[in-house]
Amino acid sequence: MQPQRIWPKVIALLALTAITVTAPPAKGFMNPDLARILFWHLPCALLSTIFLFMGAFWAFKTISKPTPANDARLAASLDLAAVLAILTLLTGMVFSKVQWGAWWSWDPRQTSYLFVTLILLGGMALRSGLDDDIKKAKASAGYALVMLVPIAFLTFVYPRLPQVQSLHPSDTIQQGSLDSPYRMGVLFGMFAIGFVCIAIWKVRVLARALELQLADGAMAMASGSGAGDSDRGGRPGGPVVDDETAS
Amino acid sequence: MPSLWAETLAVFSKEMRSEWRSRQGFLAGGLFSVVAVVAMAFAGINGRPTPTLQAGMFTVVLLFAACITLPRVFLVEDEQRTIDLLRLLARPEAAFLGKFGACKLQILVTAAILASFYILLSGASVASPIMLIAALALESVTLAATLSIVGVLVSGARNRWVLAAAVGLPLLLPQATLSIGALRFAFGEGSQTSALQNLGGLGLFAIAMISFGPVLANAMWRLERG
Amino acid sequence: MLIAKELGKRFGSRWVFRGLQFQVSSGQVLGVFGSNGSGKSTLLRVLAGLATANEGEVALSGEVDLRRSVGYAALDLALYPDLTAQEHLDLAARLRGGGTKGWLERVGLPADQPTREFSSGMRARLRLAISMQHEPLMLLLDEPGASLDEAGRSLVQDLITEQCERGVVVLATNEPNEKEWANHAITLG
Repeated sequence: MQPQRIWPKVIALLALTAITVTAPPAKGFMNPDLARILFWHLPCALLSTIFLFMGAFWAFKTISKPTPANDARLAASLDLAAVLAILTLLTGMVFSKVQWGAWWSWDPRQTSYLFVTLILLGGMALRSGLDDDIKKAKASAGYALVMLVPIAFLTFVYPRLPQVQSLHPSDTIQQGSLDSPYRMGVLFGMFAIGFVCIAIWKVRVLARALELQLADGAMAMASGSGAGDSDRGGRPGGPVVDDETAS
Repeated sequence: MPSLWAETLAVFSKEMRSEWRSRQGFLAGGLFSVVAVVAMAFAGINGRPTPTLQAGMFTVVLLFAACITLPRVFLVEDEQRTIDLLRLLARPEAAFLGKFGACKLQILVTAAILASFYILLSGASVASPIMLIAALALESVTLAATLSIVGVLVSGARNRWVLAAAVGLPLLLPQATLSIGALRFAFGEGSQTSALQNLGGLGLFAIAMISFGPVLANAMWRLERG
Repeated sequence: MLIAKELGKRFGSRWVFRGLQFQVSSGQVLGVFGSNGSGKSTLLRVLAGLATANEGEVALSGEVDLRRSVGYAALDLALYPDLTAQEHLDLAARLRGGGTKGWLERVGLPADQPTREFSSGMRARLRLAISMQHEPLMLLLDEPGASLDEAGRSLVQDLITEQCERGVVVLATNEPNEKEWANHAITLG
């Protein structure tokens, strides 16, 4: 990636910061000024879910074809989903302190999102424990598909159960319960943070490809001492069937 | 070529035979359950915990007992380095299902010990024995299926025992929530409708995990050259 | 016939071998030689399907199911410590097909002793029996003579001769005596 390409992302984040600072205070909140953290909180949550499903898509491809490229896309998607989930939790905690009076309120939705974050972190722990590339790719893909069941339950089913009473507003965007400037702010937040995340995703995938190219380069340099019968010269592992009988 | 069923049965028999000779899993799980039950009963010595708290403690103990004992069925293959032999001999789906069967049996026995000792020691009243049995049975199946999947995922990893718990527990948290929902009714709190909904949720989890397990095992353990 | 084309296996960013090509006809014994760490065992694991190659392909004529067509005996192939030799063979037959009759006598092992009480030579014999009981198309032997006595080595030789009538043998070794069993060779590293 070219260094100057960083600027559009920086500008996008600065613009989001500017919108956060200048947006009118939100109505109906205990602390209307600080409700503007929604511009970061909601996009992070939505983007985390998007990257999670993107991860599931690459997991599906990886489990049948565990190539380094597929694995790199899968890992980049899941890592971003986890980072965004942590940011959602952190911004949510600030919101909780300001609006509900405590950093952590054991609100069902807040807690279920903590579970989601823990599940995503479990995937990172699993990747770090495996050495073999192919095994790591397959296990990671398997986990990404397995975790869809509990995450779908925690994200889409559990908060909507009739017995679950949450402080969280539900389906805020779909129901159109946000004021227009806030709706626009959240959408811009999605764009700005998403723009940065996609750039990070691409860099991660590119970095992995370069890493493999470097390894191939090192192999080519050491080709004389590589695999294959070196006494035959040429490329390692050239025609290696040796018709001389050992006995 | 033997059928999938015959192979599953062969793996299950092998697991049971090994367990019968070593008794490691049942001993670890059983001992953990008894100790945990004594601690639970002791915690409620100066006042009986509410049904919800009882259900919560019960589920958490079962969850930890499962995390301690179940991955063993899979990880012991890694530890003994017999996983290669198993892969060479059995088709992955049969290896998964046979081992899942062994896990299921093990956790059912653990749950039965846990429930009987707890009721005996703490004198807890069970409002709905049928719900208690149904919830424990379904929770056991879900635990066994999920931890079997975790066992497949972490086999071959460094620190696999710790990793099994680190990966398994978050995956099991939603199921624990559903289990508590069903068990609190069994101990006398909440509505039957809600308890049945939770049971249904547990059942769906069990179906999802049991269906995905063989597919995952095939992806992870299938013999393939490239 | 076994054909390997442009075979490569990598651990992390390090290639163990790459661009490996060979062809072995039925009745032939391919020796895989090379210093420690040159990738002999890894190559056999790839041929057995236990490890996946990062590049290239392997084809074995007549192969339908890898489990049925490959027999694999390696030093690091562990056995179930609580099961007896007979139970191992029964398990193999129940899972993969093939027979068990006469194998224990042939490899000279007791039927009812758990393998945890076996010596390393006895374990090596049982591994040989398991690798051959289903009459595979390809037999993969990794350091087959290690820990075996004279009678054991002669058993390996007999099994190789028997396998040559049915298919191919790939033998990884550094032992000069065992190298003589091969009639083709590749050297790694």
